[in-house]
Amino acid sequence: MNQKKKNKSFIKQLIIFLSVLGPGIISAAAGDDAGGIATYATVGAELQYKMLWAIFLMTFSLVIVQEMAARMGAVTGKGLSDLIREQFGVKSTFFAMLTLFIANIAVTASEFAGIAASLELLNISKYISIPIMAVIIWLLVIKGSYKIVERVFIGFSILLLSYIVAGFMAKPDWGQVLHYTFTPTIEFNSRYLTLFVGTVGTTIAPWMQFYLQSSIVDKGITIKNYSYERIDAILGAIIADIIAFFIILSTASTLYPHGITIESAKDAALALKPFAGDYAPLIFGLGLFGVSVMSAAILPLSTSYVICEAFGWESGVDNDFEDAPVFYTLYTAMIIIGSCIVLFSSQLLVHIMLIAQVINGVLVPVILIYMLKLINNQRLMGEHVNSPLYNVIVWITIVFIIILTVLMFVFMFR
Amino acid sequence: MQDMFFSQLIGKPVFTTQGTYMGKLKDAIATIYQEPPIVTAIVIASGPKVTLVVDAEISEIRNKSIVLGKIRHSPLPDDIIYIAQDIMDKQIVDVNGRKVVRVNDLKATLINQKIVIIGVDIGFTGLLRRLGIEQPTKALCNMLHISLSDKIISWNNVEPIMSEERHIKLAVPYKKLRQLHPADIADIIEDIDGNYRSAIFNALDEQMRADTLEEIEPNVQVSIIENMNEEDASNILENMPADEVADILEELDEEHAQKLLEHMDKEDSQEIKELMEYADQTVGSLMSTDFIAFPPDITAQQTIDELRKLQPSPDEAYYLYIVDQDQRLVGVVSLRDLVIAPPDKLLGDIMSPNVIYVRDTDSVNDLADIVTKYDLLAVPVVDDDMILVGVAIINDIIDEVFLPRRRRHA
Repeated sequence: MNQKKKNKSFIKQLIIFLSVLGPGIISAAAGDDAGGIATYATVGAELQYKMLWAIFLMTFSLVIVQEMAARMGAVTGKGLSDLIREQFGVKSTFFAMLTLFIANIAVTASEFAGIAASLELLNISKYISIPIMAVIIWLLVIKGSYKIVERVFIGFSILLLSYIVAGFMAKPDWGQVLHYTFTPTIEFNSRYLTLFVGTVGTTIAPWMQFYLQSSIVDKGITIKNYSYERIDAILGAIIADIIAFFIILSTASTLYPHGITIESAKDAALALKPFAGDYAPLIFGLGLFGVSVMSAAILPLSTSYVICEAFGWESGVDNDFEDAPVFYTLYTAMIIIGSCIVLFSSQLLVHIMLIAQVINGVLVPVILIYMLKLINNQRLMGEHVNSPLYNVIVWITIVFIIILTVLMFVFMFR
Repeated sequence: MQDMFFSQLIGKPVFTTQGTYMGKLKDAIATIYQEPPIVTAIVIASGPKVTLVVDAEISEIRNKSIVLGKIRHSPLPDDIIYIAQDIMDKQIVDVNGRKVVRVNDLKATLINQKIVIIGVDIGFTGLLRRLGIEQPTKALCNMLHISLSDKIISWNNVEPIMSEERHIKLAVPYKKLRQLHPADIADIIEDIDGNYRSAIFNALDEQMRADTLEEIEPNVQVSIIENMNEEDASNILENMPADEVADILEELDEEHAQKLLEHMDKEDSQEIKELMEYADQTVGSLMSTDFIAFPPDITAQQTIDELRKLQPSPDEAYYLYIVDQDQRLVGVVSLRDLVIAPPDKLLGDIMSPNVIYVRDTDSVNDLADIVTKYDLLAVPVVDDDMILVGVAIINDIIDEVFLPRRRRHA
C-alpha cells in the first residue's frame, strides 16, 4: 500500500507538472505550425542567414508578449476577449474579433495547406486529403476526444526538433551565422519585406496570445501559483524561436547554396537530408502533418470559443448545438472556409501558407495594442501592470511591424 | 414614464434647466442595496473635466439631450455601483435561467424624475444597438420576414457580480443567488470568470458553501480551496462528507492537503486520511463513512427513538445496518421493515441476515453491477474481517460510474 501510494504521488506530481507546465509550451509548439515551417524554410532558402537577426530580436518580443498574456490571465481570471469586451465595449470588441477571425481563417487555411503538402509526399492529391481530413478534424473536436489527440500530435511536433540536429550537421559557416544573428541587415525590395512581415506574423501570431490566456484561465491558474506558468510561457517562446532559428539555418545551409527555393514539401524536406538521409521526407512529412492537424483543430475551436465569450454566447463542445448555435456555426464555418481556400486556390500550397502569415503579420499590431492598453490598466492589473521596459519593447515591436507593413505595401505596388 | 436604453443615454449632452451646457453623460451611479437600482448621481464629462452631480432631478430626456431639474448636492452615498463601469458588458447571473450571461445593454425608465434601471438586455438586438446598426438590421430582417426580438430580463431576476471588497458593506450579499439550489450555484460558479468565483462563494454561509463545493467540478474545487486561507477551507471541508473531502484533498498538492488536515479535528482528519489511502476506482474511494449501525438486541421502538435523536440525513437512512459487538455486519433492516414492526420486537428478529455487501477493495464497476442487479439505494461496505467500514450510496455511485466526466471546452 505504502509503495503504491508513493508511486501514485510521483505520477501525480508529474501530471501536475505537465498540466501546469503546459499552455505556454503548447501554444508555442503550435506556433511553429505549417505556416511557420513554410515561412522559415523559404526565408532560409532565399535569403540565407540574412533574417537570423530578426528571429533573435523577435524572441524578446515573443517572450514578453506571451508572458503578458499569461499574466493577464492569471491576474484577472479572464480571457483576452472578455477583457476587451469589458473594458472597451461592443464596438471595439467587434473590431478586435473581426481582426482575429480574418487572421485565424488565414491560419486555418495554411494548416490545411500543410496537411495537403505533407500528404502530397505520399502522392495523395489535395482533392482527396483535404475533404477527408476536414471531416476527421471536425469530428475529433466535436466528439471531444481532442485533448488526447492534442498530446499525440504534440508528440509528432517533437520531430521538428530534428531541424536542430540537421542544422548542426549541415555544417553551416558559424562565423557567418553569428555575424548575421547580431547584425541587422535590411533590403528594400518587395520580396524581402513580404517575407519579413510573414516571419513576424508566424512568430507572434495573434491567436497564440488568445489561446495562451484562455488556457491559463481554464486551468484556474492564479497569481499565487503564477511563477511556474511564467517559466512555461517564457520557455515556450524561447523553444519556438530556437526551432525557427534552426529551420532557417538548415535550409540556408543546404538549399541556398544550390539555389533551390521552396515550392513544395519535398524541397523543404531536403533540408533534413544531412541528418536523416533517405528518411528526410518521412520525418519531415510526419512532423508537418502532426503540427498541421493539431493547429487545424485548435485554431477554429479556440477562435469560436473566444468570439462567443466576448459576445456572451454559449460556447464549448459540452453544449448541444441548440444551446450553442453560434459556437458550432463559427467552428464549422472556419473549417469549411479554411479547407475550401486550399481546395479552390490555384496558388502553390507553400504560397498559401506564406500569404496567411503575411496577413497575420499585418494584423498583429492591432491585438498587441489592445493587450498593452489592458495590461497597463491599474484598476484591472493592480501592481501587476507592465514595467516600463516591457512597454518600451512592445511599443518598439508594434511600431516596427507597422513601418515594415507600410514599406511592404509601398514596394509591392510601386 | 418613459422607457429607454442605457446605451442611448451615454454620451448625450446634459443641460441645466436654464439651458447651460454641462457636458456629456459618462456614467450613472446607483446604490447597491436599492432594488431595482435608482440612479442617484451622474458623471458628466466635458472635455478632460469630469463632474459628479449628486442627487439631481432629471426633468426631461429628449432625443438628443438630457435636461436636469433641481440639483440638491447631497453627499455621495457609500455603497455605490457605476452602471457603465461595473454593469455594462460584464457578466451577470440570470437567477431564473440559473446561468451566467453578459450584459449587452440596460433598460431604464424615468420614475419621479429619477432614472431607474429595470432590466438587462442580453439579446442580439442589444449588440446591434451598441454597434449602431439596430434599426437598419431590423428593417432588413422585417423585409426578409425574420423576427428579431429583444431579450430582456427583469432586474428582479438578475444578480450583479462584484469583486469581494465591494460587497463587504452589504448585510446580505447575493440575496437572490442564495435562494438557488447548491447545484445551480455550483454551475454558476463554474461559468463565471475566475476572480468572481471566490467572491460569490465566500458570500455564502458555511453550510451552503459545503453543499455548493460538493457540486462543483474537481478542477474548480481545487482552485477555490487553494485561494482560501487554511482555517476557512478546513471549516468548510469539515461540513462535507469525508469521501468528498478525500477526493478534493487528493487533487491538492500534498503539503497543502496536510496543512488542511491539521486544521480539522482529529477524528475527521483520521477518517479522511484512511479514505485517501484507497486507490482510485475502488469502493473505498467513494464510500461514505457516515452510516447508522445498531446492535441486534434493541427493540424497534428504541431504534425509532434513537433515530429521532440522531436525525440522520436522507442518504444515511435508507437502510439500518446491524452489527455485533465486534462491529461485524450481521444483518440489515430497511426503514419500511422498522416502521411496520411491532414496537417491542428486537432488531435481531426483524433483520434480514442475508445482507448484500461489497468489500472496500472491490472495484467500483463490481459495485455498480450489484446496485443495478439488486436495485439497491445503498450497499454496506466491509473490510476483510467483515467489519462494517462504510456505505456506498447510489448518488455517489451514479456520479462516479454512470455520468461521464464532465468536460470543459478546450
